Amino acid sequence: MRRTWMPISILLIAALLASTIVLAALYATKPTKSELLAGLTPAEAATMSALAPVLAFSPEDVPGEVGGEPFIDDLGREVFVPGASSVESIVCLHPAATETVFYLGAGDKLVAVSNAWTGDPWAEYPGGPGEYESWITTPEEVDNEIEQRVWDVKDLAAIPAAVRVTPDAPYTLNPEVTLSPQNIDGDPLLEGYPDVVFVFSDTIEYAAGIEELVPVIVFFPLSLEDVLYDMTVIGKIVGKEAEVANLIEEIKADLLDITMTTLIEPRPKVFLETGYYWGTIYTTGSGSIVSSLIYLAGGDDIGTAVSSGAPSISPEYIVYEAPDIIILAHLFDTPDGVAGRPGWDTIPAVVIWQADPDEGIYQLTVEEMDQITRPGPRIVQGLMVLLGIIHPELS
Amino acid sequence: MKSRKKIALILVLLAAVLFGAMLLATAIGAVHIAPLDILKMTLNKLHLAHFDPTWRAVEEAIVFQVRLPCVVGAALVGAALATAGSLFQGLLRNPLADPYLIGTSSGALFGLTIAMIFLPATLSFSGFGITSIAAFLGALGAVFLVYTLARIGGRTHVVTLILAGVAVSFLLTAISWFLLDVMGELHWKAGAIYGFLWGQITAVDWSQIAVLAPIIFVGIILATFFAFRVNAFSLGEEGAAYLGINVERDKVLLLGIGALLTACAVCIAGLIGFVGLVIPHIIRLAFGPDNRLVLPASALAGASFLVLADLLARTILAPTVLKLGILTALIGGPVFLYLLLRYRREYAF
Repeated sequence: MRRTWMPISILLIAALLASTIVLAALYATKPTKSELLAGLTPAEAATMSALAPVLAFSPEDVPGEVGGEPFIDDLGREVFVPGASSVESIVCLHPAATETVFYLGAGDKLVAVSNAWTGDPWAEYPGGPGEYESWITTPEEVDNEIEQRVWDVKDLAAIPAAVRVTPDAPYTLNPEVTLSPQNIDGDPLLEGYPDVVFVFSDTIEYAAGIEELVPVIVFFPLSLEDVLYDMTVIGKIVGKEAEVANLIEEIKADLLDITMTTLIEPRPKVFLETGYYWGTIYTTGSGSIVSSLIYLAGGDDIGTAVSSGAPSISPEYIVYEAPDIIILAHLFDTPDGVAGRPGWDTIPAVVIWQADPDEGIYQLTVEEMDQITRPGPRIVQGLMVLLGIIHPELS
Repeated sequence: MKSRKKIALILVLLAAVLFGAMLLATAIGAVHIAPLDILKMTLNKLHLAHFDPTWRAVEEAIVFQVRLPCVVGAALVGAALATAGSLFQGLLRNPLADPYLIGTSSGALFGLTIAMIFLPATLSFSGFGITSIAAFLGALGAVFLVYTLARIGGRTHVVTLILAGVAVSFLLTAISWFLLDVMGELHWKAGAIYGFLWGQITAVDWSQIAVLAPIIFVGIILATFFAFRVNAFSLGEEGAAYLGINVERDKVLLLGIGALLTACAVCIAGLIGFVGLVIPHIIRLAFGPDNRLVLPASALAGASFLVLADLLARTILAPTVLKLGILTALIGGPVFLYLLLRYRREYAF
């Protein structure tokens, strides 16, 4: 018996392994560029394939209507949002969505927002770097206004990580708010629930179990056009369709303008590092929002060699590709540390940095990191940050 | 018992395999560099010949500064873990013992967490990042703590040692995750913990190797030198005492060597499962349980295994780098199962 089973079990294990590896390889394979882009250099093709869907985007193509046709969120879920024409109360666990809601002038509909996830005060809508003063009078006013709208749910902490107050993030809302249905007294469908909950895919766990009671929209934007799509969904839900259409036209025009100025310029090779943990180097990967922004800003992102699903990248590949600019979008290492990595002293960016510490290697500030990574109305600012590094003469 | 001649032959063969694996791993990488060029630049570097460079300077930097230190690092880590594993398995008479059994892994995780809370991540000493040093100290500290706890009335029972090790491991792991969980600003460092837990050899510096290689070499040589005592421990502590072994003193010595080897490995690569647990068993399956052979053979086989696993981790989806710990289990698991089924009746521990 054993003699017959052994080869079978080994075959099974081998098949399992082989299929794992094949699946991984398929998953990591980059999509081929469209035939239409055949005459362009790879960098130009990447720029065009980032920009074209943005220009082709139209808010009218986005399905969904409050009280009517269901919305389709970034995970492809159909979500019916009840109501007359727009919602009145929103719990938002996604900073870019919070920013969008405020940008569209519907901040008074927010009853709770989140500051968790990265530890930086997410959703810094009232105190964002100089941008929001024009829409909001003072943070206290916002807080007061929203606190009055926090529904009456006591002694609850079912989502403490998602909605909590920390001393250094004074603009976060009432910590007592919970989304957990079992903690609500009385008829939960009549009061005590927001009309809609916005979550980011990273915080989806905090909304688990409430989907039967509250419409939950999950945001997971992977490309620039996804950002526009998400804004449109938010605009429709808060009843600011005209405002969101204007915002999208502005963003499209800005992205196009900047791309047109960078298109004819020489294209430096750029490596943007998003993490350096235990010797492992992370980047954003092919087709990601940040990678698209690098191309629009006139750079050539060498991180596109890895897929955005598996973004750790080999150091020898970076040394070989010899980027002219290295951008650190994290605080795990310093330009000094980068210059000291084994073999990196041959990289042009490092050589430039050694001659002039203001060039070659750039470490982004926390605000700049937010601007380039937050898929909301500040996306053009993110592009300007990258433009200032890649083509300072144009910005 | 095998004759000395046969032991020597096996070791020479395994050393040849290791050499071959290291050559292969140096020749192949995320970036293609012609093997002939690599040979030429190596001969140039060793002053054995002089070829006019037909390669770019950057290619030489990749081979000697980026790739080779990682290959050597992988060999050192593999050798250290496999030696520590066979030491612990023999000493503790427990086939499930691995280098992390008596607290090293959780100690390293704890050290790493503390360093993240109190020290800037960018701090470094002579090529070592602060996280590596914290992991090293944490690993050694945890073993010391376990040993102290398990020591009762001047003696350390093996069972108490294992149980204390397991308890301390759970405790330190729980404290580490508790801290990571409650301190909001640490959430964003979870990536570092993830890399650490699955092991990674991607940025080894020659200066790190210069410090750690001598410690690992001395550790392996000492372990082999004391192989007879490990054999004696397999008779149980009483049996070992009858053979004239100073049981308590040798236990401290061998535990110390194993813990030091493991801490060095953790310092370079984080936690890499499987190598320390299974390579010694594979060697025993193939060559029998005599530790005079098992210890050095495990070192060589562990080194070859990890060099090849790292090669695959670097190249399967290049330039993406896979987690090394995942690869070791994916490759090693089936190999081990195959050997286990094949030699089922002859296995002796």
